[in-house]
Amino acid sequence: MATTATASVDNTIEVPGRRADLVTGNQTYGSITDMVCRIAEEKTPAFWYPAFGASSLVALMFVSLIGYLILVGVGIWGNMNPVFWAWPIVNFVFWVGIGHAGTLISAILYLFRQNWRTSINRAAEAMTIFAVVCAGIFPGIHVGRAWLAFWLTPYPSLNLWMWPQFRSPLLWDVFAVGTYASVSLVFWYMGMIPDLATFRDRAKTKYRRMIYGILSLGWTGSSRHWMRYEKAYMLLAALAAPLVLSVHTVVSFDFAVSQLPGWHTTIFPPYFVAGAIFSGFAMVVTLLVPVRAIFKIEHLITLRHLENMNKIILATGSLVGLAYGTEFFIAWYSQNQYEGFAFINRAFGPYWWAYWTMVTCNVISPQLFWFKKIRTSPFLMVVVSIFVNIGMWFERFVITITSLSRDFLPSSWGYYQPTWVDGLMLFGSFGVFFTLFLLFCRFLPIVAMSEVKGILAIQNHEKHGHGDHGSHH
Amino acid sequence: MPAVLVAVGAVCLLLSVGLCFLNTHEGNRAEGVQFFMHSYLTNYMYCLSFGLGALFFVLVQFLCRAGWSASVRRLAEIMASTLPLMAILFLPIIVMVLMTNSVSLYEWNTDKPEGLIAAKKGFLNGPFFAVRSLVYFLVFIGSAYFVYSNSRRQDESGDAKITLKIQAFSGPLIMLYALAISFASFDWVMSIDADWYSTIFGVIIFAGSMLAFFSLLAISCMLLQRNGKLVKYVTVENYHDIAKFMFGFVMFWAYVSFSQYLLYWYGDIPEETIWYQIRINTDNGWPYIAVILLFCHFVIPFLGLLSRHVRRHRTGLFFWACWLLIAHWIDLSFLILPNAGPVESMFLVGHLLGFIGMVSIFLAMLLLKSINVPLVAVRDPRVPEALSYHNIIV
Repeated sequence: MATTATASVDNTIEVPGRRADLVTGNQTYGSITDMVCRIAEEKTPAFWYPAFGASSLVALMFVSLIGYLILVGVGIWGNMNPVFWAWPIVNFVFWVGIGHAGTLISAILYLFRQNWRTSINRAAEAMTIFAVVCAGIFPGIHVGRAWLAFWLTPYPSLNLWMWPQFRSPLLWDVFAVGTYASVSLVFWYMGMIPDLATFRDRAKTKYRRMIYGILSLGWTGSSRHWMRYEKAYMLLAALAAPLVLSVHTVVSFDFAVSQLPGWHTTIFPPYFVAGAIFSGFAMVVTLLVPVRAIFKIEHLITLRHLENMNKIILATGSLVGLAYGTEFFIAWYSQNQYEGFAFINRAFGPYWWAYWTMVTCNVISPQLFWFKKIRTSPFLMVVVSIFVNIGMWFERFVITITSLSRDFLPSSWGYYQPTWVDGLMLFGSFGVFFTLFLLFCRFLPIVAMSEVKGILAIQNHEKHGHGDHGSHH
Repeated sequence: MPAVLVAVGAVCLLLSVGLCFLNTHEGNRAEGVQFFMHSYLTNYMYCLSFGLGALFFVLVQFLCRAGWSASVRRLAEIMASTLPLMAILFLPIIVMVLMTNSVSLYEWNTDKPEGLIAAKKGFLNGPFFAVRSLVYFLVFIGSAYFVYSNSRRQDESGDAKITLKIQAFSGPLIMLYALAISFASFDWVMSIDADWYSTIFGVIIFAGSMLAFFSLLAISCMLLQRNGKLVKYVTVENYHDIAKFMFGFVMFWAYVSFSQYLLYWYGDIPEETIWYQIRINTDNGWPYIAVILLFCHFVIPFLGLLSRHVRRHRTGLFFWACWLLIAHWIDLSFLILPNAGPVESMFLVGHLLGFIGMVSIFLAMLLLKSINVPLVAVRDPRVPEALSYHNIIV
C-alpha cells in the first residue's frame, strides 16, 4: 500500500549493483498523482496567506523603490566614484547565479541520465526562472534612465541611426541572459504540459478546467504526443546544456575583459560557472527542504535527493575554493604589482571582513558536507546552504567593490558604502522571488508527476526479478 | 612485443636527438638542444595525458557510482597505472633542472635570473621544482595504485564493499588531483615562458587530457574487440556514451582555450599577449597551426560528432577518435614548441620521430601493464548495469 506518512525512509544507503529507491513508501501511479495534485487542489493552507501577503508587500516596496529611483535618479544609491558598479551589479550576478541550478538539473543531469533529478527538477526550474526575473531587473534599472533600457536591443536607433556596442560584454549579457531566460521558460513550460493536463482532467470547477485546459495545449497523452514530447525534451535539453555554461561565462566576461586587477584573469569563466551552480543548488536545498515538509512530499523528494544535491554543493564549493587559491597564487606568480596588490587588498584591506565572510561561507562551510550526518540532516543542510548563499553574495561584492574602490591610482581610491535604498532593494528582490515561488507552489504541479512515474516504473521493474537491468532512459 | 616497442621507441628518440643536433642553424648547438627539449616535453605531456585523463575518469566513476562505465573502467585503470612508468621518463627533465643551469627548456633555470624571473626565484628554482614534481607524481601514482589494487582485489573476492571503499576515498583524491594537475600544468608547461601566466592554464591541459583519454579508450575497445577480447563487454551503448564525452570535451577544450584567448586579446596587456604574439602574430608558420587547431580541434570534429549515427557507428567513431588524437598532439605542440625559437624543417622530422618514439614506449607500458590482467572488472557489482542499459528507447 502506498503511504504518505511523514516519517521519511532512509534511502541514502548505497548497495553497489542495486539502485536505491528514488520514490519511497510503496507508491503507485495513483498515489503520486494524488500527492502532487492535492497541493493545488486542497484548500489553501493557513500559512500561505500570511506568507504571500508578506512577500508581496516586500515586492511592492521594491517596485515603489524603483519608482523612487526613476523619479530621483541613481544618486539615491551608494554608487560613487570610483565604485560605479555597486550593489545593482552585485545583486544581478547573485540572482543570475542562483538561476543556474534549475536548468542544470533538468538539462545536464538529464543528459547524464541522473534519474534522481525527476522529483526536484520542476521546482528547481521554477526557481531558476524567478531568479532570472530578479536578476533582469537590476541591470535594467542600473542604466540610470530605465525607460531607455530598450536601447540594448540590437536595432539602429530611430533618431541617431546608431547600433548598440557589439564589442561590449554588457550587450552579450543581454543576449546570453535573454536566451537563457527564454529557453529555460520554454523548457519548464513544455515539461509541465502532461502534468497540467492531469490538473485539467481532475479539475472540479469550470474556470480551473478552462485555465488548465488552455495551458495544457490539448494534451491527450496519446503515444504520438508522448513521442513528440520526448523528442522535443531531448533536443531542448541538449540546447539548454551549453546555455547553462554560457550565461555565467558571459557574466564573467563583464568583469574579465577589462584591465582592472582582480577582474582580469582567465580562470573567470569556468570559476563563475562553478560558483553559479554552487549557489543555485544551495538555493534549491534551502527552498525544497521546507517545501517537502510542508506539502508532505518526503516520499518523492527523499533524503537521497537532498544528499546528492549537497554533494554537488561540496564539489562546486571546493572548485570555487580552488579558483580562489589559483587566483591568489597567480597574482603573486605574475609579479604584476597591481594584481598582487588587488589580492592583498581584498584579504587585508578595508574590505577584509567581506573577503573572509566569503571564504568562510563558500570554502569552509560546504566542507561540512563531508560528514554524512550533516548532509542528510534537513535542518543542518539548510543552515549550510544559507551560509553558502550569503557567501556567494559576498563573493560578488568582493569582486565588484574591492577591485573598483582601489585601482591603479591611489588618488582616485574611495570607500564605498551602500545606502538604505541599496539594502531595501536587495531585500525587495527577495520579495519578488518569494511571491512568484509561492504562487508556483499553490497553482502549478511542483513535482514532475509524469517523470517520477517513469522512475517508479524502472524501480518496480528492477524489483520484480529483473534486478540486472539498469536505468532505461 | 613490449621489448620491440621499447627498442623502436629508444631508437626513434635517439634519432630525434640526432636530427635536432645536426641540423642546427649555422652550427648553433644550443638551438638544437632547445628544440629537442621542447619537443621531448611535448611528446612526454602527450603520453602522460592519457594516464592523467584515465585517472580522473576512474575516480569520477566511483565518486558518482556510475554504472554505465563499469565494463570499460578496467581499461582506464590500466592506462592510469602507466603513470609510475611515465614518471621515469620525466627524470631527464628533473636531472636537467637539478644538475645543470641549462635554460634550454625552462628559462628560469639559471643562477642569474633577471627581471621578473628573479622575483619568482623562491618558487621557480631547481630543487623546489623537483620536490613539487615528486609531490604531483606521488598524488597521481598513489591514487592510481589505490584504485587499481583495490579493483583487482575485487576481481578475486567480488566483495561489493570494495566499491564503497574506493568511492569513499575518491572524493578527497579528486581534490588532490585537481590541485596537482593545476600546479603541474603551471610548473611543467606554463613555466617554460616564465614571465607569462594564465589562471586557466591547468584547465586547458586537463581538457586536452580528458579528450585524449576518451579517444584512446574508444580505440582500445575497438582494437580489443577486433582481436576477440571484450566482445560481450563493450556494447554500442558504451561506445555511444564514450563518444558523447568526446563530443563534450571537444566543446570544453574550445571553451577554455577560447576563454583564455578572448580575455587576453580583449585586455591587450603586453605581458599577457606576448604568449599569443609568438603564436599567432608572427610569420613563422605557427599562425597556420592556430587556424588548423581552430578547425581540426573544434569546428570539424564538432560537426563530425554531432550526429548520433556517427557516435554509434564503429568506423565513424574510430575515425574521429584517431582524428582527435592527432589534434591533441598538434594542440600540445602549439602550447609548447613556439617557445623553442625558430623551427628548422629537420627539427620537425625530429619532433615527429620523438613522437613515434615516445608513443611506442607508452604503448609498451600499456601492454606490459595489461599482461595477465582481466580486461574487465568482471566482478564489479555494476557490470550488469553497464551491459544492459540503453541510450535510446526502442
